Amino acid sequence: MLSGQESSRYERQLLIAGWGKEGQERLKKAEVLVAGAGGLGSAILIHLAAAGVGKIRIIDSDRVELSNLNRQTLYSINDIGKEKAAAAKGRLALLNPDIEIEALVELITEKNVFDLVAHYPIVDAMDNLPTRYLLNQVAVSRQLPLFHGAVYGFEGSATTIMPTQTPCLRCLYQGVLPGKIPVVGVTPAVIGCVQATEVIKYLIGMGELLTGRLLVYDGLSMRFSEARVKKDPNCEACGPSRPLDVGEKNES
Amino acid sequence: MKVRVRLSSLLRQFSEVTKEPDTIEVSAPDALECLRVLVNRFPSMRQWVYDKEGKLLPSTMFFVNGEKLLADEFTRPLKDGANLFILLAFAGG
Repeated sequence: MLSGQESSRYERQLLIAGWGKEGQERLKKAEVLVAGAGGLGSAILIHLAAAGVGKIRIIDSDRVELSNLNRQTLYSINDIGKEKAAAAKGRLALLNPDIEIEALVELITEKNVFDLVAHYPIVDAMDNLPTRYLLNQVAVSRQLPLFHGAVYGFEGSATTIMPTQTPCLRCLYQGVLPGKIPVVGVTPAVIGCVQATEVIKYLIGMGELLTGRLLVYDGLSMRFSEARVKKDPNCEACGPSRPLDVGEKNES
Repeated sequence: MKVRVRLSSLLRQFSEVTKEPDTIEVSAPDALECLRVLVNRFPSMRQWVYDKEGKLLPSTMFFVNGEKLLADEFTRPLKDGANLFILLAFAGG
């Protein structure tokens, strides 16, 4: 049941056709993992918290730096030097005290990733491919949805992965641009909001998900395009031979 | 085979095609060859798509008529008038 305060807080979204109190209660009971509290994570976390997702687990091992503030809108100058996960939790608790936020200051590794993810739907807001691959491995092994987004400069991309039904992240990416990534804050804001939209739709059970499709955003020409993506039969993570499927052996 | 190529924003910058038209017409039989033609035309693109030995970088993605190609499809013959989109994969967050 929604409290009077919750009914008031969520009044406008309760008006959306197909959402209703039932949808809001589904969000309230839901748990999600947001891996990375940087540029993408800032947009994702603010909107999942504001929408009333009941429990959010945040994982990030970094501390806030001045050079983060052009895009990581969760933080202010008062947060410089603080752990991002903890600072994010503090900010989100002020935004919505009715939800539970868990802040884990952990570097995601092959050893701990299964424990960190547990059974949660995964929001991939990382800033590097190796860690994204680790999250993908857990998603494939445990058949958890993975909401992927990535940015570079004015460009962004997003897709929603439902293991067994859709291609996985390894089907999609064989490599990425190396080096320090240029980025203006509006790009992760756009893509993070796409990811948060997907999470909300998935949790409530509304609409059509971005599955089997890669959304490509080009801020310079202001075009959104999309492409169909297919499973790679030779995929090391989700293909028939699955050489990387060490699965639960990694659990410590 | 005439192919209409659209480049991602990053590649557009290095291709010196920063303004309209947003597609470039290329005559080539497949996606890999289209890229080779483009790199010959716009040499500053080279370092973004090939390594020092001239091997295609794994970040280079091809999409034909709205479908992403798997690696073994890069030399699949393209039909006349096909639309090719080239994007460099990125992982920033």
